[in-house]
Amino acid sequence: MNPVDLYMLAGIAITLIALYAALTRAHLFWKVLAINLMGTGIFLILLAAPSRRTPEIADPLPQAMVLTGIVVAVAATALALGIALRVIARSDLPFLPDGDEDDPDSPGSTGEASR
Amino acid sequence: MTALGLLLDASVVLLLVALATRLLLTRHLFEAIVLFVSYGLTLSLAWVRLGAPNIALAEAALGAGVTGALFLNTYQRLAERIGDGAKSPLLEDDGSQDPPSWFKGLLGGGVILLGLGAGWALIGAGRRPAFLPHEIAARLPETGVQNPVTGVLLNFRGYDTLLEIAVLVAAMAGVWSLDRGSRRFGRARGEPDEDPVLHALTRFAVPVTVVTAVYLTWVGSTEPGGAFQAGSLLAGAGVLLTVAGILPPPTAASRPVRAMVAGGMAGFVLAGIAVLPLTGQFLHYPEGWAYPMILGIEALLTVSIAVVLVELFVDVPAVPEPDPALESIDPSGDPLGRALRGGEDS
Repeated sequence: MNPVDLYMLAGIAITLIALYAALTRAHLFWKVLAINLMGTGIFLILLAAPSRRTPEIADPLPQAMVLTGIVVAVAATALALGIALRVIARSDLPFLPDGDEDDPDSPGSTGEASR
Repeated sequence: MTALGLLLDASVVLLLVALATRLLLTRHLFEAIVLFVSYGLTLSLAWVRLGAPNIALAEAALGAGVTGALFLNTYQRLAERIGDGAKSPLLEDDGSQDPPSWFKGLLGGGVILLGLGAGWALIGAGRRPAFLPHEIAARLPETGVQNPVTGVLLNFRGYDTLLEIAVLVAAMAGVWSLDRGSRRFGRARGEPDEDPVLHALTRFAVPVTVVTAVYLTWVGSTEPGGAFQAGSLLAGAGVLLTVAGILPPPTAASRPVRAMVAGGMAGFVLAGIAVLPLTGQFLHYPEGWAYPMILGIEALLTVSIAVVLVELFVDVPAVPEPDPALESIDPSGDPLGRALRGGEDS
């Protein structure tokens, strides 16, 4: 196995572990961390996959895309943290409120009654 | 590839997966943040191994540095509000709100299947010869620069880079409007930071960082470097200066900050329009002018990116003030905000 393949497989693993965490951790900060890590996994795939095809020349196009992606990811993370902090300021809890605030145990509620 | 190189690659890959798993599964926020910074630094090693020093520079400064600082600052603000030793779901997640285990099991199975499918598809496919890297290499002289990544970013795909700056400006507007521009960060005036370590570090690190950033912008046309890496480094210096209380926090409420951020995008758009009569295409630089135009745009972008990133650090991570408009709708809302105000009165 070629070392570039190792990085590509790591990218797949990290993307999927982060996807699992983003969907199973209710805590908003871990959701933000998980979405950020999903991005880095995708970056690894984006960069490793083309260098398997043309090992003799580094492909600058995915490099430029990943560079742009890193900067956008920082901006998105900052915005997500700001929104999470608004949630905390409202409820004192780092969790998304369930639809119906009167009954936290009803996951499927649309919350029409509470407004 | 030597055996030693393969060993290094295998270690980096294993470390990356282990760090990611641990930081996503731990219940302690502080541990997760420290692991996140370690992950970012390890990832920049991976970029070096993949032959992408341009990305490694940006990852170390942004992925590990600025993002880590964002999380740490958030953590510190929350910890101060909660008080020493107190347990709070804000910083320690007990998992009580997590979905039921049947959902986790189902999702875990699905994720593993997806991973096997993706691995099979990506390992099996992709043997077709690629023509694009050769095409870029052949036409690189037309871009006016010798660093192919800079050539792609500012010439071939100039649109993408322009829109990226637009994304940054939009993120800044979003973060600022969450705050409504009230001051969130920094020490009160006349309260200098007495921490000698922080001051010594700032005095040593900031000049070196600024010189390195200018060098990276300049050299970006021929060697690894450019506006993104230099802007990230400058942002790191700006965060350090703000934390040390030397620089007033550059919030988006201030006009100079807005001007510097808008300047990057405005300069880019104006350069694109200015070449229209000469070449008939937006952002199509006329022959012989590509290099000076790219250098000028990169200098503007460096400042813009740095200011946006410091602004995102300054304006985001604090517990927002209670919103009187919302409180009048729901008087029971915002207990943390009320606790904060109670704490300030006493």
